[in-house]
Amino acid sequence: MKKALTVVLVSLLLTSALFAAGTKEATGAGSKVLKVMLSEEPSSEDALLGTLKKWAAETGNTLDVMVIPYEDQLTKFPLMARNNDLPDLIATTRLARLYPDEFLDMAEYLDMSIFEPMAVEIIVQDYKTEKKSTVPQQFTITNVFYNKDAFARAGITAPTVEKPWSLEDLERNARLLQQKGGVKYGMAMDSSRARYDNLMYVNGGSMVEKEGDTFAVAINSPQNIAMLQKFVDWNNSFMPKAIWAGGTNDNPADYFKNGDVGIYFSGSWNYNAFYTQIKNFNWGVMPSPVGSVSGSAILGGSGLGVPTGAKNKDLAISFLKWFYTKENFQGYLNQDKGLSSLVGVTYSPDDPQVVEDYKIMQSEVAKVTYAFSTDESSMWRNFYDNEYRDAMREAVNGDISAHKALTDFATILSKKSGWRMKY
Amino acid sequence: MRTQYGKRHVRAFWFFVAPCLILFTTFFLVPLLLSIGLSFTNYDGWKTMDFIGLKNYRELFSDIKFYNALGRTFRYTLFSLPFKVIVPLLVAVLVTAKSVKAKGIVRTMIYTPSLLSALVVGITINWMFGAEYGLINYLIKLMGGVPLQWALNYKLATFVISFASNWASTGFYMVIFIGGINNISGEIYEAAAIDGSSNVQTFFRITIPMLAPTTFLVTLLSTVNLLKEYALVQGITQGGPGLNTTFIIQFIFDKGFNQMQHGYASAISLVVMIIFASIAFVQFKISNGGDR
Amino acid sequence: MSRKPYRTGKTLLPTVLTFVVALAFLFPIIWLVLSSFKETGELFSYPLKMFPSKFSAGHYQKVIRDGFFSYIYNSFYLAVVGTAITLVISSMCGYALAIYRHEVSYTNIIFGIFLLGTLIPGETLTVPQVTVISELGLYNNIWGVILPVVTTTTGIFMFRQHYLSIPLSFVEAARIDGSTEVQTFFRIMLPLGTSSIVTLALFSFMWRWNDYILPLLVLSDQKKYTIQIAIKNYIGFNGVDWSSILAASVMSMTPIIILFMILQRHIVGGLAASGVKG
Repeated sequence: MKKALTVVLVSLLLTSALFAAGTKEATGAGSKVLKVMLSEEPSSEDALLGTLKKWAAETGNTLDVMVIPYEDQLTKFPLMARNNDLPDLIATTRLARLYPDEFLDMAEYLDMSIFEPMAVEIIVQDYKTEKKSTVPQQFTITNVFYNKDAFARAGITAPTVEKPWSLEDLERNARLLQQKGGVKYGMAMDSSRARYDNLMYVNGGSMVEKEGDTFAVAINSPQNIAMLQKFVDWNNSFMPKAIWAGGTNDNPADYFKNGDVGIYFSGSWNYNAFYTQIKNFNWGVMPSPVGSVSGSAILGGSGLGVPTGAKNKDLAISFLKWFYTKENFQGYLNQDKGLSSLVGVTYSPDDPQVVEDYKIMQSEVAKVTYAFSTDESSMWRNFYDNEYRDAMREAVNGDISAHKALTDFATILSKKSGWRMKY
Repeated sequence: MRTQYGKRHVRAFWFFVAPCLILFTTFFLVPLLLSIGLSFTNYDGWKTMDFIGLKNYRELFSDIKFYNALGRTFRYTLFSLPFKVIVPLLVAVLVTAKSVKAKGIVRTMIYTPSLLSALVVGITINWMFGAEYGLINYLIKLMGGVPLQWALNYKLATFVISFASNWASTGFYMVIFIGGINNISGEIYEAAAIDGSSNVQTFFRITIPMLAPTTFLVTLLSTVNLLKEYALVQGITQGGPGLNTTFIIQFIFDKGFNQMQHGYASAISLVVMIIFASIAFVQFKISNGGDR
Repeated sequence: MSRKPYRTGKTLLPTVLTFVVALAFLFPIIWLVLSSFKETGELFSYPLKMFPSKFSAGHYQKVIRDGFFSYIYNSFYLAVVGTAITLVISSMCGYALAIYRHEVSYTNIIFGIFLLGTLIPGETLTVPQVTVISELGLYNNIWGVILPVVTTTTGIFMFRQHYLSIPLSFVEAARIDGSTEVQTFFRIMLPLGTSSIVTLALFSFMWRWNDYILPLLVLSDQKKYTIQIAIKNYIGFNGVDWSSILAASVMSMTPIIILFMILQRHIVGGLAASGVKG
C-alpha cells in the first residue's frame, strides 16, 4: 500500500513539470485561435456561442472559449492584463465601463450608425470620454408579464399600448387579483433595483438632477419618498414581501411560472424561458403602467469588447465585422430571441402571439426616460450601490421609514460625491 | 528547561517548522502586509492608489452599520457555538460506541453534508425552510398549523442559518472528535469498567477530560468559522430580512470588494482580524492551549 | 487494538438511534440527488416533490459534455499533490510546536502566527495574494495554485494538539537510544500520529478538491480548471442553472465520499496501539 502510494505520488509530481509549462495550442496551418471570454457557462442553445462556432467553421479558425464568472472578472481582468494573457474578445459591459482605456475604440473599426441609438447610448456609451469601448450585442428591457387566467377570474382587462394603466389602476387591480384572481400574490417584482426605479421615474423622480456641469442629489424628493411608502404598503398587502425585504433567495420568476402571481415586473430576458416552460396557464405581456408624469422603462444588455492588449486583435475585429452584417446578426437574433441592437434587423417569430408580445416589449423602448439617462451619466453607482439596495430592504422590512431610508442614503451619497442635496 | 540536547533540539525545531513558515510568510504574511499598506490608500483594485492616511479608518469607526454588523455576528456566534461543539461531540461518541453496528456507513452519512458547497447547502435548506414552498411549512399546513415566516422573522432567519451551518459542519468536527476519542487509551476505559463506572460516569469523568485538547481545537475552529460565516448566509437569506442577517464578512464585501473599494475593505479586514485574534487569544488563555 | 469505551450493552437500541440521526443528516442530500434527475422546470415547481416524475439523466449528460471529466482530473491532481505536501509539512510543524514547547520559548507565538491564517477569511487577501504569486512568476503555473494553500492552519493545529497529548517522558524514551531528532520523528513519532494523518489527508483532499479562487485566477488555460470553477460557471447573470449545479455537485461529491469510506476506518489512535500506560 505504501509503495503504491509512493509510486503514484512520484509520477504525479513528475507530470507536474509538464503542467507547469502550460500547453501549446495545436492549430492547423493558416488558422488562428480566437480567445473569447464569457461570464457564464453557455447553454447548448446559447446564441452567441452558436454564432461564434458558425464563424469559426466558415473562416476555418478555431475558438478558445473561457468562462470567468461575473463577480470574479474584476479580479481576473487586471491579472490577465499584467501577465499579457488577455482574451481577444470579451462579452461584457462592466469591464469596458470601468477600464475604457483597456479596450479598443470600436468607432475606429465599425460604423456605429448601424446600431440602434438607444442601444449604443445605454450599453456602449462612456460618460467620461467619447469612446465606444464595446459594441452592443444583447439588448434587454424591463417589461411586465401577467397571468391571463387570473385576470379572467378577477374580471380584469389587460391594458393596451394605446391605453396603459396608471399607478392607481395597477394598485386597484393588484388588490382585486389578490382577492378574486386565485393567485397568491397580485403583483411581484424582481428584487433588482432597476425594476423599482421605473416606479420612481414614472412620477418624475430620479436619483440625481443635472445642475450645470455637475449634479444634485434628488433621491429623497417628496415624490420619491411617497412612492417608496406606497411600495412598502404594496409589499405588505399583495406582494411577496420577503423578496424585497430580503431574507430569501427565491426568484419571483419561479413564483410566476407556478401560477402564483397576477402581474410580474421583470424583463425581456425571461420571455423565452416562460415560452418554453409555462404549460399550465395562459400568460402574456402587458405594457408597463404610466405614472403621473410619464411611462418608464430601463434598458440593459451586454456588449462585446476587444482589449487593446489582445494578441489577436485583428481576428476579433474581423469577427465583429462578420457578426454585424444583416444576415449573420439575423441568425444570432433568431437564436437569442431578444431585442435587436442592429438597425433593420428584428426577430421574426412564427407564432403570431409571440409577434404581438414582442411588439409590446419593443414599445417599452420608447418609454426610457431622460431622467434615467441623466442618472446613468452621473455614474452614481461608483460611489454607493449596495447601500441603496440595503436602504430599500430596511424600508420594506419596516425597520426604518421610507423617509429615513432615502434621506440617509442621499446624505451619504452627497458626502461621497460632493454633489449638493436638493431636498 | 534546557536539556543537554538544547542546541540540537532548537535546530531540529527550526528544521521542522521551516517549510510551513516560509510558505506561510510568502503567501500569507506578505499579502497581509500589503493589505495593511493598502488600507491607507483608496486602492480600487487596479488603477487608483493614492495615499489617504487614516481616512478609511475614520470612515469605518464612524459608521454605525459596522458596529451593527459586528454585534449581529457576535450574537450569531454565541448562539450557535454550543451546538457546533456539543452536537459533533455527542455524535462522535455515538458513532464510536462499541454497541453500534455499521459505524462506517453511519459516519459517512453524517459526514456527507460537509462536502457540499455553500451554494448547494443554501438550495437544500431553502427546500426545507422556504417560507413559500418549503417542506416544513408544507407539513405544518398539513397538520393545520400556521406556516412560519422563516424569511421575514429575523429570529427565525438566524435560526435557519444556524441550523444550516450546524448541519453542514457537524460531520467535519465529528471526524476530529473521533480521532480524539480513538486516541484515548482503551486501558483507561477497562480500568473504569472494572471500578464499576457507569456509561454516563465514564463519559463525564474520563472521555470529556481526556478530550480537552481536541475540544479546544473544535471550539476555536468553530468560533472562527462562525465569525466568518458568509457564503452560507448568501445562499439562504442574502443578509435579510432588512439587514438582520448581514454579518461582518458580508459587510466587508458589500462595502468594499464588491464596490471596488479595496483600500476600505482592507482597513475593515484588518480591524476585524484584530478583533477575531483577540477572541482567539482569550480562548487560548482560558484553556491553556489545550495543554494538560 | 482494544477499545471498549462502554460496557457492551444491547446493540439494537444504540444502533437504531444512530441510524436515525444519520438519516436525519442525509435526508436533504437524498432530496438533492433525486432533484438532479428532475427535468429543469420541475425543480422549482411547487409544491416541491421528493421524487422526479420522470427520471432524466440529461443534466448529467450536459455536465459531462461541458468537460466535467477533465475538470475532475485536474481537481484530483491538485488534491493528491497538495495533500501529500500538506501532510509532510503540517505534521513536522505541529509536532515541533508541541514537542519543543518547553525548550523553545516562542512556540506559542509562532503557533499564534499560524492561527492568523484562519482568522482572516481567505478571500479578503486574494488580491494581494495573486499579486505576490504573479510577481514570483507563478502565473499560469500549477505551483502558483498549490504552494499558497498547502500550509493549513487546521492541519498544524491538529498535529499540535495530538502531540500535546503524548507525555514528554515517552519522547525522551524514544530519544535515548541515540537517534537524531529527525529520525525520532519519522520512525517513531509520525507513525503514532496515524489518526491525525488520516484525518488531515481526508480534510486536505476535500479542501483542494473544493479550491476555487486561486485556480480560477492563476491558471490561464480553461482546460486546467477545477470542478468548483465549473460549478460556479453555471451561475448566470439573469438566472442560475440549478439543474446543472446539482448534477455537477453530486458528481463532485462522489469521489470524496468513496475516499471517506475507505479512509475512515483508519482513524484510530496511535497511543492505544502502542500500549502506552498513561
